[in-house]
Amino acid sequence: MRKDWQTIELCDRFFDAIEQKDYDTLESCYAPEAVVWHSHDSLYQPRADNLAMLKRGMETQRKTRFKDRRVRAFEGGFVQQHTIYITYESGFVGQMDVCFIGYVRDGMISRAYEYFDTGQIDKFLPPREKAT
Amino acid sequence: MTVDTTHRRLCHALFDALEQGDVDGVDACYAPDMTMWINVSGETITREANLEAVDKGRGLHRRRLYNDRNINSFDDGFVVQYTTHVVTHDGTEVPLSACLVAEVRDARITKLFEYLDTTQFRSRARSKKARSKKTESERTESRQPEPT
Amino acid sequence: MSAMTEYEVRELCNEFFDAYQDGRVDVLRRIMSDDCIVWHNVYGRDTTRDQNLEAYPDSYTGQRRRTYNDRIINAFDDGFVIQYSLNGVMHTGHKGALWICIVGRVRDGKITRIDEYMDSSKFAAWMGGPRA
Repeated sequence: MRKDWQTIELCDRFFDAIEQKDYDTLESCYAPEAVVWHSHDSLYQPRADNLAMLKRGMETQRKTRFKDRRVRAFEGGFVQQHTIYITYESGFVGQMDVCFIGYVRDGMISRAYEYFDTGQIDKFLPPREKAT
Repeated sequence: MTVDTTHRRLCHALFDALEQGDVDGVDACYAPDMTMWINVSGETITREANLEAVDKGRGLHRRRLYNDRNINSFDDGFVVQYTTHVVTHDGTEVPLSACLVAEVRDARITKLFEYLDTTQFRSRARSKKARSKKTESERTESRQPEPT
Repeated sequence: MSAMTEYEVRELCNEFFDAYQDGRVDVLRRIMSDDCIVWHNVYGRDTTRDQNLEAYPDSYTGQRRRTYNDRIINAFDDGFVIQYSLNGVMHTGHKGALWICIVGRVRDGKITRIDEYMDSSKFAAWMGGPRA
């Protein structure tokens, strides 16, 4: 069985890379077959689409932080609970409580599940500009 | 018995008790100082409040199921991804994908963290009746955060 | 004869792979039934428990270390399915990985059948080349 610390190190590396806008490290955390499931649509998002989305975030959002991270490793993966804070260009800071479950193969994230409450989207996305 | 087995058993015991509305069974899974946090409200409730909600919740629906239990255990707890099916009194069936993280000590749950996506409830309701009018039970449920 | 619980099946499955990992042929002999059959898709034929255990040292040829990681186990009344990563470090220092699925049948606390599915096209990459 893989050592827990290796799995936790992967988890830390993944979220640190997003915070530090280090796309190459982020990309290396995903296995070739990686898919990401999100609770708002219950669909598996392909690796390329997910990376493109994260890359767009790195380019357009001022800052992303994952705070109050609590990680546990289990056989074949990890679960992290955190609160994500995104500072948008407008200065608005959005936040959301998230539970992220990563299934690991060969030291990379092979399948991930992200649970959050889309019902609290107003706390997460910036208010829409009103049309003039 | 390994820790993995202990924690899996505990998870099943909790979900089975909740399905059956067995408040004593749920109580037996909890440590005396147990608390529960729900993402929907961001609040932490006490053991007593949780058991009260379980007791009251029995009448809210016709049936609540905890299916597709995908459990992963670690030394001090477990995480379970599951589909909870709520069957309301008018027959409406609503499946929700949810996730629960539990901290465990001495084979009892000390902390629960529940993650629900409340928009799933609204978008996934499959009603046998016309959707134009909300039933009383739907109005009640959309107001209250669901305990596990 | 009583059916095994899901928990007992899982523990037996982990015991089997831990024993394979740690070279515990004595444990393997105990937890595999006398009439246990091991079938490999790669060879397409059945082997007995004793034939399998006799060949065990040979299966380690060229390998310094093997770990059975990322174990995803699903148990049912009379068996289990496990998907896992077999990670190996060869004597050359080369690190390889194989992704394997095994369907195991159990009875009375012992494994009665193993059906192993591997992708033989990955064997060369698994072993790596000779030391330079």
